[in-house]
Amino acid sequence: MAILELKNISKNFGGVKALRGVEFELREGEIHALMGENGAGKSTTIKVITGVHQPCEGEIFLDGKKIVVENPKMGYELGIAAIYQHVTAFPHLSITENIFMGREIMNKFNMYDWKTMNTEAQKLLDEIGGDIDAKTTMSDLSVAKQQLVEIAKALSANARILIMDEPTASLTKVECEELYRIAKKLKNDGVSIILISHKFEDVFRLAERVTVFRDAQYIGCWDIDMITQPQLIQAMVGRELTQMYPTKSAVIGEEAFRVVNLSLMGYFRDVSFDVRCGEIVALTGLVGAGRTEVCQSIIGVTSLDSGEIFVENKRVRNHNPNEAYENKIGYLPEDRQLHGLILDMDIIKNTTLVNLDGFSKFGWMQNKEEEKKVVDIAGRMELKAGSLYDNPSTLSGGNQQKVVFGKLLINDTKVLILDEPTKGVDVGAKYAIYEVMNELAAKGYAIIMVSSEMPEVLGMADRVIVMREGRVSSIFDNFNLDQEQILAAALPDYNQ
Amino acid sequence: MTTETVSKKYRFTVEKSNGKNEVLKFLIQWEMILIYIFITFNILLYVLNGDMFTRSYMSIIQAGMDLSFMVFPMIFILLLGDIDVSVGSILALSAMMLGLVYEATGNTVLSIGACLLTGASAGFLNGFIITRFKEISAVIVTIAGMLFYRGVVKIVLDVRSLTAFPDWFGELGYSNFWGLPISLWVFAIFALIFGLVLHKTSYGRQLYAVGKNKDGAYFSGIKVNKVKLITFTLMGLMAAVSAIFYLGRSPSVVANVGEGYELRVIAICVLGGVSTSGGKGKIIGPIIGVFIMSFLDKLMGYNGVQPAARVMAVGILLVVALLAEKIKFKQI
Repeated sequence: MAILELKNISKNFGGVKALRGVEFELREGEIHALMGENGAGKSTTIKVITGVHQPCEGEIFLDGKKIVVENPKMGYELGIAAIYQHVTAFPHLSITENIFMGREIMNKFNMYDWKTMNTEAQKLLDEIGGDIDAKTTMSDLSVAKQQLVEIAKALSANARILIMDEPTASLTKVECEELYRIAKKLKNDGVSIILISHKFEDVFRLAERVTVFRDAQYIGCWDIDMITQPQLIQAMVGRELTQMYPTKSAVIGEEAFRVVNLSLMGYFRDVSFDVRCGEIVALTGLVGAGRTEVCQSIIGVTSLDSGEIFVENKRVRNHNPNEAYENKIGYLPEDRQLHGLILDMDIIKNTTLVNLDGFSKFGWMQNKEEEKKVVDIAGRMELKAGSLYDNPSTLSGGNQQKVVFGKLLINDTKVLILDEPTKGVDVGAKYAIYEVMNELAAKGYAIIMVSSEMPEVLGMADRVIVMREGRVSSIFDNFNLDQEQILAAALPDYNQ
Repeated sequence: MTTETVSKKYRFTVEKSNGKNEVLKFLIQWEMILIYIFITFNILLYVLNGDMFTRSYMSIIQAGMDLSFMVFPMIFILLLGDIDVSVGSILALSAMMLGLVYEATGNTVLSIGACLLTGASAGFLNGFIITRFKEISAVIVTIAGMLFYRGVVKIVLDVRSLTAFPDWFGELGYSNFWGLPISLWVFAIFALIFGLVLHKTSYGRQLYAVGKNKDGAYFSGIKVNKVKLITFTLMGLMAAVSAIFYLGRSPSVVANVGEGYELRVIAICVLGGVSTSGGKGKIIGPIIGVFIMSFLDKLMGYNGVQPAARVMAVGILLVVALLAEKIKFKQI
């Protein structure tokens, strides 16, 4: 029995067709995955369902009855709730306040009844598990727990249809497991779930059916048992990817980079490793293992208590990213929108920001030179943009990331530290980024790739460094290596 | 390079705009609206006070010039997402220093040097505290600066007033050169320099980058602290320049010189389309804003509006202008 049905939905934004006659069917009590590259129309579909956007054509049926969702509030009242990738809660308020925002419980004096609300909130939290205190301030929670709160909030509004937009994008392995458990529990309680995810593991472990969109169109809907990962990828990209990772041809040369006994109180201790020219080394581990902290200390964003950094056997000290660039170390930040880019500054200016001295004479910007260089780099990155004078905010996630990559190519660097280079990037763009990484390795760059995605680590790295609770627990050559070995080295409770 | 070939080879163009409604967009951009406001004030002045329009047009301009030199660096500071409310006090401190040194030595060069050094040092101190102690925001640091520098002036001068200044200062305030006030010439030169610095140099680029996304700029290797320190020092220096032109118009320094100037300067910047949240604004808007402010002030003065009510009118203009801008952008 279908609880929600979308028939022939179209949506235009100006001249852009965001949806072209898409179909979607959600059955009662099922988890239904919705997949597609960025820009395929998933988010627009969700916004049509929740009432953020009105469809230009087509009909929506809830329990077989035609409905028109005029606004998100109405969607909420119909039992449709969405949990977005970037949690939209009020970070400075408590969990209780977040859950009851806009529908507070009053006592007989017509004042907020915090006692009852706290109890109710706690009950909801206990129901989904996760060991959270309802009085905690939202911003004190990890992203994973904030998502759980959003789920609790949806449940408190008696949501029958729960939409999860990339719920595991910024979760660690363990947190993912927790989310899987809760999703399954909700399903057993009769909640129907629409799951949007780029991760195959999410889809294959949770979903019963999967619908694929491509270029704003409906491609197909399959039972999960009837489709394989390559087939899904093919449906999404519309072409056959012979493999998800391009072949690497770089010759591994001499040592280019070495760190010795890096320590920062409370974050990491005695971290030592080296990277050679042409080599891609993956730095992996659970979130909180200290990977990003190590990288940011190397480039001088945070300080070091002790330890030494060598580039081409020369000791360097970086007190800020500027010095790191001067010492031939490039860094691609994990948070593209906050640290990687200046979203409302055009692509050319963004790209040349890392080397203003190189594009100016006596402080005077050389605009023609800038343009020429960025045209060249954007071409190498296969950037898809309307104009290089557009702002990165108009680009898709994958193309934004290509701009950040372009920034690394401006400088004369030797060592590239890439912190989650493919996070929030769709399959097609991922492949392009992998190709660029291999190309750079072939040119003799030494590459450190921080990644939480096991297939990516195994597919791309020559060696794998696993961190655990601030220490390097293992360094593997990527030969006959499997996910289990890496995970075992990453888990805190694993005994060697 | 033609757009055609670029887009075929790569997947983008290097075209800056789409060509649609270019003329309309040009005509309703904020700077043009400011020009319309300015023209309207001119017409009003001509109709209401025809004699003043012909007789004292230049002196109206001169009246607005002394604080105008602080407008340029204030644009920079607002672009950074910071604010400096101590500039009125720095002006007073610098003017006092000029007066004291001239009184003691009678040396013009020395006294002007002392004045500029004092302003720059006060600005540097602001910038140093702001960049060194990140827990305190620029608005708090400069409020403290405003009180502190003003306090120094009040302690030193008490009820005294300094009146000995180089004779030629008056020329700065009242004389013309090639038919235009000297102060306007200087203003034009500064406008050109600051405009080029903001829009054509690497430092200007860094101002925008830091203002739009401080962390993003830092990760891109911009020395955010250095940029801020330079900008606040520049602000102090220009407050001292303003002090010299202030003395050209009213050659005496008392303890409350320049009080409230900081807010007028900020108001001109904001009226000129500079966002207080950083990263947005151009040099041209505030330049027109300078003239709008002095014309509005004189226009009301000639027509018998009390000083207190004039200040209110400035407040109203500010809010209405900003609302108009917001509404305009929503419609496009």
